[in-house]
Amino acid sequence: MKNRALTIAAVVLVAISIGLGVYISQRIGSPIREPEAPPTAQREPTPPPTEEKTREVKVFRVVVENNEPRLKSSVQSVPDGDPIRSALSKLVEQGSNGGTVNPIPKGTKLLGVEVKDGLAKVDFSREFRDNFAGGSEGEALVIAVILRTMDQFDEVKKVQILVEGKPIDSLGHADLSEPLDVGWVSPEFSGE
Amino acid sequence: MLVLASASAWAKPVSLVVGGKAIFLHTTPVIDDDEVFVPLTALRAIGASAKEDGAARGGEQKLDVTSASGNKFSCKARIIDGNPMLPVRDIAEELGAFVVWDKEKNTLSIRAKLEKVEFDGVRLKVRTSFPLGYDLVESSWTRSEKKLILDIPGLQVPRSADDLVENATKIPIRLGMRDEETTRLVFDLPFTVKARKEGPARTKEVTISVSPSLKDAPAPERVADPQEGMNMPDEKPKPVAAPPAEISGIGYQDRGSKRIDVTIDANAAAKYTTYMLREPDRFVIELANARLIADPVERDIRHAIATGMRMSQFNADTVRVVLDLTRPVAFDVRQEKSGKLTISLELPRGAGGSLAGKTIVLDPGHGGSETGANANGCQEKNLNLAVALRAEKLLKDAGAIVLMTRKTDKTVALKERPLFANRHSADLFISIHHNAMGSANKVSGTETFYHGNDASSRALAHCLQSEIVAAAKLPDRKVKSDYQRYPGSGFAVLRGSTMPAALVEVAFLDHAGDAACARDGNFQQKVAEAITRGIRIYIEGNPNPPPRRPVTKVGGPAEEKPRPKPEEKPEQKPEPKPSTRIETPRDTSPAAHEQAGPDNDSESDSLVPKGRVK
Repeated sequence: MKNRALTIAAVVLVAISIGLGVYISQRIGSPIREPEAPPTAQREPTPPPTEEKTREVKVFRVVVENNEPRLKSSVQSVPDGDPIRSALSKLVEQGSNGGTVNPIPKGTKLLGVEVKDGLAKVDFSREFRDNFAGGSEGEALVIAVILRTMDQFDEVKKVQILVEGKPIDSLGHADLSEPLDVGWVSPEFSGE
Repeated sequence: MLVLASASAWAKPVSLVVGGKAIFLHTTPVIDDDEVFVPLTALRAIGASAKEDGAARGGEQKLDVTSASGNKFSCKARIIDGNPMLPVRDIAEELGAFVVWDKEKNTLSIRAKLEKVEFDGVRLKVRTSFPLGYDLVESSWTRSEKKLILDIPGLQVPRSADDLVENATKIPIRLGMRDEETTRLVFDLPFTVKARKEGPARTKEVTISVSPSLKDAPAPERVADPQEGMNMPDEKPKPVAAPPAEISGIGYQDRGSKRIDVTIDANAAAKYTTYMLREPDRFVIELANARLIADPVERDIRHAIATGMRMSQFNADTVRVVLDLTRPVAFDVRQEKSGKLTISLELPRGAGGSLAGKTIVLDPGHGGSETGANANGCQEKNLNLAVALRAEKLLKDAGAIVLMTRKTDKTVALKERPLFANRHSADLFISIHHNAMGSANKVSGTETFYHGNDASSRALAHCLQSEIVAAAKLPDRKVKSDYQRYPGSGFAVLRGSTMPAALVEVAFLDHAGDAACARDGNFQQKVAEAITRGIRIYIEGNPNPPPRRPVTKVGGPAEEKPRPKPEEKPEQKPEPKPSTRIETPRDTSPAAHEQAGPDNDSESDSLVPKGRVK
């Protein structure tokens, strides 16, 4: 009998505490809310799903319309591991076809890319220099597609073009001996 | 313990918008007799705070309020359902807030006020009266439109914000309401830049850093419509532009035989675009979103380099000024904050006198191991040299001293070339090149580069380009600054010279048609002759200047009798188009005036022919 009374008392107690808990949580939950800051301030970029193994990068090439070359990007899927290297590889390897032109000199291979403190050192094979057959226009386009492709990576602020590990003076007109700012692109070529 | 002011018989719940977004308060604002009351928690959303000053009495609570800018003031809150509520419109000024009550939507919007925009070319600072979030948009959605766009939701700009803008660059900054809630700043850029946010996501001082620097960048060649970019391309355009600048007069100051300054009076800084035209030589400046409030001007000038000036309303929102010149000039345009424009037209450096006796450096591009462009069986280095040697002979025959950076197929370092010209104190440096873009038969034509913003070099490039295009008859790819290729740096070969310098790209060797021309000796001779003529025109002026019109009067525009035009009574002047006004929420004027008016082309006979000047 005593046990039963205790059980009832316990059940009642539990019921009361649950009821109270619900009540309190309701009281706390609904009307007592701080004013929200404008959502713009709180909006965080949604983190990419971690399980994904590829990411998309923009790779630039050249189209000519009305006698004027300009840049055009294509979105390509690359392994998530080293997107800068992947994007540059895609850039170098993409072929020219009827409509679009890859201005990177034929046969050029990407030997390596190293990013440190905002400076990307991009190392090309000797074909980059030896097979360059353009004039100032072609030169500007080569530089533009490299810089625009690198520009999508926030960690890259400057680009130094190397050939077989060494800086080059020029492809003929522009001074390439120093690192180039990623924004250093002919405004005439800019495009998406 | 009853909640919400809506329980009160006379109070209606109101939604509150701050920073462009609806915010939720556990006590909603209430409206009473056109005054809007907000709870103290709303102050936090606009960076302000309040402290009770004593106890509530008679349904009122005295408060000490501190605004986001640190402005301290006291005010009385009304106690509504036990909560102190602030009459927000009464204290908007003290809070640095712009308060809009939309009766229909039952919405209260509290916006920050724009306090200051500062831009030094590297850093943009926008100060607002209370902290806001912001969005940065870098955009170049077509080839010719480079823009940096900053959106600040919840910021109100005044109808005329010019006083608030401190711009140390030549980059025009346009300011307007993108929509009811959002202020948009649009920078029209001469080249793309990378912009980065600095500081917190929500701030009273929005700071954006820009690289490369726009400090010394030229204004964009193309003047954007005030509306352009105010809305995203897929958005419905909304009226946001500033009222037109009023152009009230034009005059000139004789600065001696080598320089003349032309001034254009305006009450606001109009966006402008400039052109150089040849044959006859003219300088054209077009003022966008501008209205000529004086009579059109057609006036002769007695000066060695200018013979006349003309100004008229070219179309509904463009005022065009044409200056008739005796020769190609170096020009510089300065715009004061007041809007006044001064155009200096000057005899370019190295010009004047005769070609005979001048020292000209010709620089055949590339050479030796540096072949340059290589296509269609043409090696650029050889063609550059062929044209240069022909030009050398022609210039020497004309009595000029000609120095060649190379006369044979040898390698000459890029940076050595301008230094060679500097060492010989040459008057002009001309680099001769042929182009290629890296793909067959896609691009064709002639273009000429000058360095940076050098006005004399630009004049030289114009002289060369117009003569070569006339002779070679290939597509005119125009005169360009090498900064258009490499912002802030340019071509190595142009950068190092102290004298006016230009680089000619005669033709595209990877275009079969261009290459066939470039290989041809007759063509090379024609180009060499054109280069020689261009140099002569630069130095000696136009051999066939336009006949001077008989000088009628050298008075100001007011003394001139314009042709009678009965329809031009002041009260009938076309009103500014509704689309060129900043619509503020308090602007209750009807949205659609019918009276945009047809383009006023009645003066175009006295200006360059109708249509866009090339």
